[in-house]
Amino acid sequence: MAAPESGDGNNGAARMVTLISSDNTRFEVEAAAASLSQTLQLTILDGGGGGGDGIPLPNVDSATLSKVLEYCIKHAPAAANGGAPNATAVDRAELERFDNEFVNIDQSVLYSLIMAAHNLEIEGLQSLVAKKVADMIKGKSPMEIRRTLGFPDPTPEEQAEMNAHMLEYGWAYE
Amino acid sequence: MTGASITRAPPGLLDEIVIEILIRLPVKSLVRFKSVSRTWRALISSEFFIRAHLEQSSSASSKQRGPSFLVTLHALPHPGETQPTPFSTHFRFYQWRPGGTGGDDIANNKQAAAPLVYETDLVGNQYSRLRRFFAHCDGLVLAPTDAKLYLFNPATRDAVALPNNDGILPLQRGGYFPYAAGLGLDPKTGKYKVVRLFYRWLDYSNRTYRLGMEVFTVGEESGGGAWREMATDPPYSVDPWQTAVTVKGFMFWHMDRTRGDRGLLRLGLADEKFRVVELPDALDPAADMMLDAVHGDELCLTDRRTGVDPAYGTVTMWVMSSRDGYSRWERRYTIQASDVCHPMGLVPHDDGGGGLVSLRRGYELYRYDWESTEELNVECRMDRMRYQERRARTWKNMFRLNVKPYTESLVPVTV
Repeated sequence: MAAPESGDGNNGAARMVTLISSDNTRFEVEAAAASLSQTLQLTILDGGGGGGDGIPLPNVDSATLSKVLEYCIKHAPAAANGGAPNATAVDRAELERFDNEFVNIDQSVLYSLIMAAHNLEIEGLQSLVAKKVADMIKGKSPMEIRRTLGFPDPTPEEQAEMNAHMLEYGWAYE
Repeated sequence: MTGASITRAPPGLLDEIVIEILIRLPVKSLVRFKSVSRTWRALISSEFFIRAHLEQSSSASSKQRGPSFLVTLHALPHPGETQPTPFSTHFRFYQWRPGGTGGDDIANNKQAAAPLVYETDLVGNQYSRLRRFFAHCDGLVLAPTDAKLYLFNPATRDAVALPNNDGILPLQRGGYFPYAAGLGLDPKTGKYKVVRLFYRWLDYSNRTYRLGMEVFTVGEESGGGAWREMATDPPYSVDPWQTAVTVKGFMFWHMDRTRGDRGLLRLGLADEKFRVVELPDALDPAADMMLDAVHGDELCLTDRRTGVDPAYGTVTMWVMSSRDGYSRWERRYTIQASDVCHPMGLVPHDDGGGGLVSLRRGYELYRYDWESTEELNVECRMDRMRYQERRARTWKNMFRLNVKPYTESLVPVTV
């Protein structure tokens, strides 16, 4: 399973590409892993990112990028199998375990990750982090959500609306 | 809900990302978050968001969590009764997820638990006996009773009684309206439609009649709040009291077997036209059969043939899907079972689920894995389940149980 034949008609050793983070750190990864990003896929298919050039990613810092690539490397073999119809239950369980561990991180890192996943269009990562954030906020009060998002304090008028809503939909606040 | 530490989200968290997160929240949280701000309220109430949230929860439940079920039950209030007399307008909806909260240890004879989602008493309405089965579509539940049709969204705790059409011949047979009803989404307009069959006239002496079909569009802005007769009349009658099985824009009923008609009546919700669907040729005309919607877009016909051994029969499941425009049956599964089972949910082979099917027989839910075993494993006994209200309770004297695969949604029920 771990054989480096990750498709795309390449022969021999897996093709490598270089990605450059916003703080100028260079990451060399297999093209198959980087291709999980829809944004990068076209560039890579056209032969970009190889040799000394590298693909600059001005919106992603090195800490976030290394985390993103950790995800991509882990998920690349399954993705190459087209959603892994022939993956074994063990493989799937292993990926699930990895995913659960992977998002067990600080909230601020999660937010950087979801932005990066959005910019790079890595669908699986985006939904993984979105699900994690959803689980974290689902029990919060509207006021806590406002503070999390840095909304200004509600005006008296808004506060009255919030109170009225809470009275009407008390069951949703239990 | 006491605020622990609050980590600020970075400024410029894009709207698209916020939406990606919100569509993964349960309905209860979203109802609460309507008061975060006016913008959030508008977003969460918008048709776009409601649809996106529904798509997300349907795909998540089929891929990751497995099906969840909505359970409604009716018990006999007094011992010795055979029918639930002056049956109230009290509705209770419980949600149960196999292997979910509290339900994970059936093997150890630990009772499964189903939390109460919504309970309401529609006082002021005519008392009703529940008739036949509920219909579920995208989080909406249609409860056909002998007096009225009720429409619920249990997750948002909305309930409405649909008006009755006084102009319709009030055919009363022993006090009931033996109509057949149905609920489904019109794929062309994106609106939900409730339909019901009625008699234009009927002659008891020689059993001749003429049928009509009327439709109620949920949340219609213009001309809403009223039933409208369909331009085309149903060409055949259907089994009375039958609630339609709806899949992707089509409703299906058994044709009236008491008249010897054989086949299914199909109604297209977009064009409001009828068509007769033949049963599979190989189906034994005398076999018992069940019609179910499984896995979103597949119509499943289950028959049961008695085998050599009287204790066991062969249950065959035929499937029709939207890919063939619901015109061709495919023999999909054959299992050994001693009685007719309702398929409740399928996990297809290529989904990595290993080929599992949830089946219901009477009060029991089974799990059948035709790749590794040949027997039915009891997943849950609905009559022994703990029904979780403020306190857990079990129900004695169970009279009728409705179990439907269920996806919670924000779809509004407005008349």
